[in-house]
Amino acid sequence: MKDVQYFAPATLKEALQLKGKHGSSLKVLAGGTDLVRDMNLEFKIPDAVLWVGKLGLEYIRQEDGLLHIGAATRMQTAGASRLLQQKATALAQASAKMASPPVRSLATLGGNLCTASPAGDTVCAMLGLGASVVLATSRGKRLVPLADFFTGPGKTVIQPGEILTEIVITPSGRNEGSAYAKIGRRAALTLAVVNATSRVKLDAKGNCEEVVIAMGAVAPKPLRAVKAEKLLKGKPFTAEAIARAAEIAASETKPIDDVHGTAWYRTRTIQVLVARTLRQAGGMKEGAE
Amino acid sequence: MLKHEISFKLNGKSVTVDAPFGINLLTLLREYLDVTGPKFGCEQGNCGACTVLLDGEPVNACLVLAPVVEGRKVVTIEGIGTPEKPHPLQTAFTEHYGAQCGFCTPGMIISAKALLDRNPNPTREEVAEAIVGNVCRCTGYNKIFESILAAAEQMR
Repeated sequence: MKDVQYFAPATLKEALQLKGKHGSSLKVLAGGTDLVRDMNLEFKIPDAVLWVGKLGLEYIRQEDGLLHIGAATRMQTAGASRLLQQKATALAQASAKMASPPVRSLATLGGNLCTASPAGDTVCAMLGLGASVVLATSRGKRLVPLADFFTGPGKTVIQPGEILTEIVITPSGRNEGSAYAKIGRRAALTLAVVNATSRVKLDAKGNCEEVVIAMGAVAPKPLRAVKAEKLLKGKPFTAEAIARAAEIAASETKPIDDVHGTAWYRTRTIQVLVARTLRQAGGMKEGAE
Repeated sequence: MLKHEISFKLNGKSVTVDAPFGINLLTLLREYLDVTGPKFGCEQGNCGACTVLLDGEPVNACLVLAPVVEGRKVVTIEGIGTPEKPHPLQTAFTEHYGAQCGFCTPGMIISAKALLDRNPNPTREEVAEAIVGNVCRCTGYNKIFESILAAAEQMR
């Protein structure tokens, strides 16, 4: 086994300087549930590791009308957060059910995003909430919408000198909600075979004012159902409109056959999950079709 | 290979150990400190046999890079109770047949301890939620639920 250099700076400034200096040979360690797993099982031993656990990046607060979530916020913290449960429901739901308690007290939201699995639980939730992320370097920072963040399986737009420091989400307001749903091979401790998130805002007349739909494990990267969103926006939010939108959403996917499920199965189940999360996000009763 | 000093609190005692930075906490405990209660199972956070408490929260020791525990508190099954003075969970697991082969038991008891520390009166469902990350291939879980619920009652 080779020697691994280890850095655990206490300030973000130091961390960004180190990242700028070492670039892609310095791997960011957050919870370790992916990085250390890969070291254990695939012998992917990085040259150097930067642990971000001492940077104070675990926080959830509402400021200037936006939810600011530290990238090192753990699933346990996110799932138990009242603020997220009320104003970013889908994210609290996805966090609270991900993997198991021992994994949830390690795994972080920023880590889930940077691993960039097309099936990531909280990845789908954050994409479906219309979140953006802050990517920082020692020279400055940029805000990237998650819709532009993923470039392929395990790939993102993060540059070698950058660290993801914060997730920014517009909180749900009046007549607005969000929901996350997944299908796995078992009830718990399972990878999503498909997952979906919807965020819906209705106006006083029951028309769909804003809508975001995200789908996971149905394409090389987590996907927004852009055509389905367009179909719903500005129209009456009815059971028929939801059914039609879910059909269109399913047609926007490019699923594959793999050990977790077939493309055939994914195309059919994603339609069900999109419809279900739309109904829940829009405050409709289940079974009230 | 270069070794570095890692200091932390293990089962209430301060320890300092020389180890490479690239190993995980499970290896640090088992191979550098001879603490063999946490078991080596899947090494990917699926089986829970290596579960320990890190600052009071359950974690998979196999997923924690060793240097990350610097200055922090780690509790393994060895820190929960002793053969002479067992923890109520350990007594309950023996009395209610919660352990068969015993491989999952150290991790199982750690997860149960983490639950009871914050919820002394759990329902059966809450117990199931708490040990969802601890796989047992012997008991079928019912005896484990009974053991944990019995320990909870004993401790109240």
